[in-house]
Amino acid sequence: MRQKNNLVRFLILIILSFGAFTSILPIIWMFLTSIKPMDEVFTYPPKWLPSRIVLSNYIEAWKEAPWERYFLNSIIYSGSVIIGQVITSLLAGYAFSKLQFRGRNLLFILYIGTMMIPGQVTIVPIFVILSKLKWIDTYQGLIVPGLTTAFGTFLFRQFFVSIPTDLQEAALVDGASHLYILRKIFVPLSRPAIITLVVFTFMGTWNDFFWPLIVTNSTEMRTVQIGLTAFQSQYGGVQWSYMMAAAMFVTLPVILLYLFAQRYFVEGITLTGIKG
Amino acid sequence: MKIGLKKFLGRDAPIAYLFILPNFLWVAVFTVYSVFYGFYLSFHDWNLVSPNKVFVGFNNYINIIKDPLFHKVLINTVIFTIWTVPVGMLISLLLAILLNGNIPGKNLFRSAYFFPVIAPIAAVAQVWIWIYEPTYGILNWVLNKFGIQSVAWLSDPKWAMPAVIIFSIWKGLGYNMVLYLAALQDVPRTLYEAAQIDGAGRFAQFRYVTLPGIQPATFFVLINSIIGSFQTFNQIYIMTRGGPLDATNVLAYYLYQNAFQFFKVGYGSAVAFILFGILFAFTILLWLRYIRTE
Repeated sequence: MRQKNNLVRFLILIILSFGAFTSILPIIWMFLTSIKPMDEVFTYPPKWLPSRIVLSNYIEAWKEAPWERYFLNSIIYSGSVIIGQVITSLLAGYAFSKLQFRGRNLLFILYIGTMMIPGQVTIVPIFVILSKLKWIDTYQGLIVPGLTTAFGTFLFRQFFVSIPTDLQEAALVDGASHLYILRKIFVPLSRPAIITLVVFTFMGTWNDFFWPLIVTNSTEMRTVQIGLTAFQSQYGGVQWSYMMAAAMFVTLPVILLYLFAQRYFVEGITLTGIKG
Repeated sequence: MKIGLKKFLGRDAPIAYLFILPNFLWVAVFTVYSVFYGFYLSFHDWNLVSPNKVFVGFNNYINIIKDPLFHKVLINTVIFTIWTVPVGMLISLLLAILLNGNIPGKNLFRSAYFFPVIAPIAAVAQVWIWIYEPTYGILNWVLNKFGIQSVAWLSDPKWAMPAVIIFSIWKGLGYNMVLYLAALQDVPRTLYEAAQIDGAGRFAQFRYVTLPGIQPATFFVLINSIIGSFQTFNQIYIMTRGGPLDATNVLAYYLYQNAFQFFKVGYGSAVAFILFGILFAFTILLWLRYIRTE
């Protein structure tokens, strides 16, 4: 019986390992190709490990496109949206959990319900609105529509509900304003929730493809993801080691964040799931 | 009078409404107004630059339904969904169940499975293009090892869709797995113990305890996956641009082409509302079924 159990466990491990290997193999292949000398890329059978490490692929790839600009744009886009979403979500989350006003629950349900509308339905009208404002291909066009989020509002509301009201009441008696209470009491207590939102929004905006593709069109306004795809039309299919080096430096910030903040990713996803 | 209003609107009324104002303003413009505006646009012929929009009634909808390309696009979208959703759900459930036991290195496995989810699609789609490369790609090399002939994955109209489907399953697996894992951990231990006392074997426990226990999660994953799958755009744009010969052209890409490449704003909006209608009907149908089984 024990032996049978061990066999089952061994089989489970084999299956899981195969699956895990398949999940990360493409990233490993990306990395290995990115450090290969050119003449070892097009070989059959494929050569897994390079005979020597060619880091100059990264320098060449960096020089071939305006990456500084792409990175700057991505940082501005991600940074602004993160700041905006944290502020608006804190305010709304606080109101929906700790303030009393008419229609609170109904408004909250209606607001969360708006998440159900597929993004494809509103993309054309939003584009028309932005083009009327002359905001196409500008930072404000890229950033402003994303400054609020139902996800963050939901996240903070859930978090604040669990914080006792006593502190808030005592501060109110002392004559503190709600904004002050939110800043001095609730924000310091909700660091995990804030980090979750920051991590999520960073991932969402940094990896975002569809939105920047629609809203921007000049090279000066492109973000890293669109820049990478433009790089493909120049070098894809020919200079695979440059292509993979470029893919590496677009992925690297996400990998770093994932290594340090993995638990927040998982928590955030689980939360979205429970909500539905 | 002032006190009466305060009583009516609640203790914290003015400041509370102020706090939720940004969110509601944004939703009012970018969701509510946009939906109505999009609906209005779908009855017009407009190229974005011309000063006047021409009212055309249902013409856009009629033209879409008559367009042979739209039929192909719709079939492609359905094929894509029929493969990615059930296969993706099955594999992620299987992995979650295996991972839910007492497995060494559990967190490491979970991290590995979750990685494709957080990796930027523009970057990983590039590697997959390289993996799918007909002559030097590693996928064909592996297939050759098993005696299977090479396939021109992304440039063969027969194989481009399977290639995109495989990529999409790979990319989304970890997301559903994490949801399933959370759901599995929420199934009360005592239920399993009770089932064991009643003499239920492993399979019976899975059938009568696990499956009903994770039903809400399955429902959420199903609806979420279908909605996501019907809106798939990024990998199509990056890997195939809908080609070859529209073999991978799907609804969201067709919408993009019409609205943002041909600037047929009204036509594109009508495509969006057809997409919306399909998803709405699906969601309602699944809801009704779900409520009945509850």
